[in-house]
Amino acid sequence: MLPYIVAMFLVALGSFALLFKENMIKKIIGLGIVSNGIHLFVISLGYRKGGIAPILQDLGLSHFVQYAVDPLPQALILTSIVINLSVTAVALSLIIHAYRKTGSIEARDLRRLNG
Amino acid sequence: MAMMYSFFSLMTLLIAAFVVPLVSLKRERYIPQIAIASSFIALVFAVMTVPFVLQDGIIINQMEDWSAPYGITVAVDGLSMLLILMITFIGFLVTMFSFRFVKKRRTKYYALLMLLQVGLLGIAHTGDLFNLFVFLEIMSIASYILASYSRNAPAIEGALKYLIIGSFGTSMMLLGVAFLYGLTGTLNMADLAVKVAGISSPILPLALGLLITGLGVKAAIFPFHAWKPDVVTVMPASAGAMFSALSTSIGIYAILRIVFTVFSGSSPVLYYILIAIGAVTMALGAIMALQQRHLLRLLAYSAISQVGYIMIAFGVGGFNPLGIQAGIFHLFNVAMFETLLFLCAGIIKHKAGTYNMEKLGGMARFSPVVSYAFLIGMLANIGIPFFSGFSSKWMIYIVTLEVFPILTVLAVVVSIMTLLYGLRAYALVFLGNKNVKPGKVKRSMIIPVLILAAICLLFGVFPQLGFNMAAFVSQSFDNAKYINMILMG
Repeated sequence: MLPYIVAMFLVALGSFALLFKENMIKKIIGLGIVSNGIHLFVISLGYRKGGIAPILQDLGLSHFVQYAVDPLPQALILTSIVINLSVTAVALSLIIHAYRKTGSIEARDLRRLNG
Repeated sequence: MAMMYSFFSLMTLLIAAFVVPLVSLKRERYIPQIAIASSFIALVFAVMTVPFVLQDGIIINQMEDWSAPYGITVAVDGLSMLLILMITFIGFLVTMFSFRFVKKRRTKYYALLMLLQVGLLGIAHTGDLFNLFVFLEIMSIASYILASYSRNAPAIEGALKYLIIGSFGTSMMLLGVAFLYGLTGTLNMADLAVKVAGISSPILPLALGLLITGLGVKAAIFPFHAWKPDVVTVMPASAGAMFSALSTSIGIYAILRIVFTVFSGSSPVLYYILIAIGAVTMALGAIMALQQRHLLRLLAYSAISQVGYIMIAFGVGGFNPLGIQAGIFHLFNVAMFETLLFLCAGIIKHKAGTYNMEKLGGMARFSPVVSYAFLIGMLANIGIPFFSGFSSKWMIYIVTLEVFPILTVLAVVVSIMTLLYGLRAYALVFLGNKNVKPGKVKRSMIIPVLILAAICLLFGVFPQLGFNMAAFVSQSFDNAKYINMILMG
């Protein structure tokens, strides 16, 4: 149960930073915390205490079904981490552009410029 | 054996999106030709799939022959086919329009335009919830970068705003997918539909809410619509046309898949929620559009308002099957006239250099053809008889009258508001005594506009075409068939 609570706490914390912080770098950090919370949640869905790596070995299918952890969440999260990486990269490069235009990384300065 | 040619159109565009930057290292001037050729090939592949879908109703492809709940399923039924045709068709016209319209940073522009189409096509093809999330992210990342294309302060602001709202939405969608996986242990939509019907848990509505939040951000429905005008106005008008028309269509498509396939047969509250969201979106979009001075902002709010009509039609479709047909027909019409209006606005900007309607005027003298095309698009948007929007809006009025008469009144009132801002925009931009010299519009820019205008007229004068199409597509809302075909093979 504990991993679920921690994961949901991270999601809530990150959402707060993402939506209410003025500093755009902090917003992006918040986005990272949200996604890491979700990743933790999905990984703990497939966790099994004392489980083995999900590789089908000589021990047979019944042993595998009984002890292996669920491999699908790990595959999903691997994909999601890569996506998250590219979103963060795009976001940071946009913030660099914003800093060059306005000399500030506060969201409200950018808004003021646009009128 | 039914061949899924339409999947090749996705592959063509994906390969072309990576070939374009490579070619640009040596021969930059061939980039637009490569893009136009590959989007034409994609359109041909999509059209080649149509007979198989008409014959069988649904074509299914299991990736690498992993059987249904375990592998990734790609399924094209009537609804997906309609979306695929719309994406490849509008994609081709927009790429052609961009040939003379986009001059700077062409490599980046065309590669991203094709990646955007890849994401859209992927969502239309897939039968797997996580795969849908991945393609949604491909589409989103391409559109974040396209939004920042012109690199000035408003563009950076629009792109950052959309990035923050959009990635929050997709995170929420991933959380919803995680909840559903935790509850059912599957991600295949057909398998999910079977398993969701069998369990009752307080987490199910939460997962549904998270999924609709994530997709609603992409479809720009209330209360997640605020980013759209900011983003669409800073994109080049050609990319904005495609993004505005298709990202909403695909967002609605994904919401329909979730509501009508995965959560079908759950409580009617779901349909009431769709209707309520639709009604607010419709009214709010029109009210905001009335106040705009910026032509593209007006069109963006008008697009938001039209999405409201579609949501209402599908919500009513939960009670009366005719509503689904009305929604499908309106979805198609909106995408067509929305693209037409955006492309006309692009031509205006290309000539006059501004979108501010108070500084524009007399553009009908510059090019009468563009002014007629814009007028056709606007009349279709308003829903005047003999233009395409009329027949689908008329269906929506009739269907809502049977279920909730108050909605009909609201829809007619919003149509009248559409009439006000639509004709005001036309008068401000095209009429007036401003001294504008007649000019020539490039052929590659006027042909897509003429084709779209012809479609708006065709479906207005012969609405039977649209009714037949909608009747066929609405068969794909027959859930039992979809589930059987995917799970039984």
